[in-house]
Amino acid sequence: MTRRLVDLCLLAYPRAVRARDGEHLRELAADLAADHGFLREAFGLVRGGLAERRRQSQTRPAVVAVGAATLVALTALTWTATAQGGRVEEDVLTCSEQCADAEADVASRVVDGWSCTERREPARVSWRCVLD
Amino acid sequence: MHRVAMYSPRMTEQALFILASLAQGDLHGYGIARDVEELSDGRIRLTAGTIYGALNRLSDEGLVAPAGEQQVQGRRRRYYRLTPAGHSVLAAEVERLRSAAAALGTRVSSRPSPRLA
Repeated sequence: MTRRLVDLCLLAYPRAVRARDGEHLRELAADLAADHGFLREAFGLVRGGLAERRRQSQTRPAVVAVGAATLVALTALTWTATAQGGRVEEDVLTCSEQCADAEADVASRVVDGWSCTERREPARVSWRCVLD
Repeated sequence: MHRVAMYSPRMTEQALFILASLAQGDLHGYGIARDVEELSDGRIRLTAGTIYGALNRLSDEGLVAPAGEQQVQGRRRRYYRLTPAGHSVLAAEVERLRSAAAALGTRVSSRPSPRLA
């Protein structure tokens, strides 16, 4: 079987498959051509190569979709970490009178690991609580 | 532990014969082609493109695996082996075909009843 013609038929395969299986395909095709005839083998190689391309094109969109979703998730996480400085949650509590409830809330948050900054103004008191 | 065997409805007759061929032991592409032709009584004659296409698909599904390369009669041969999952799938498919053949056989052997008006 003409090597050049076989190489031509092998072009039907994706490059990666050709690099991996090309030599084996070439030798197997030569062996089988001796049994079944060259045309049959040449046609089989072209058909096999096109089927392999079709199979890879079916799996590629799924890979691209997963990759894109991962990229979006990583971008969102990076943006959140940068914009929020790694903060998980931030609350501002304010009271103008009868601040006992607010102070109790702030105290319990501090116990739970929040970091609260108090700001007193003439008319009101506010706390900016951050959970890192 | 290998994965649970499942019958793949997309399994072609050629792939089934390739699995059956590898059930006897590790084989290279040419050995598979010859064995399948013999096993199918000359009905299935695989080309190189068909064999490698099927082997790549079956490898992706974990039913067969490459088993090394050897120099045989001056040619570099890549051997393949049946995995435990491939063995289970082959057994399940053979059983399915046996059941189907038995069911269909009863229809073939039974005499048709007269059609009612």
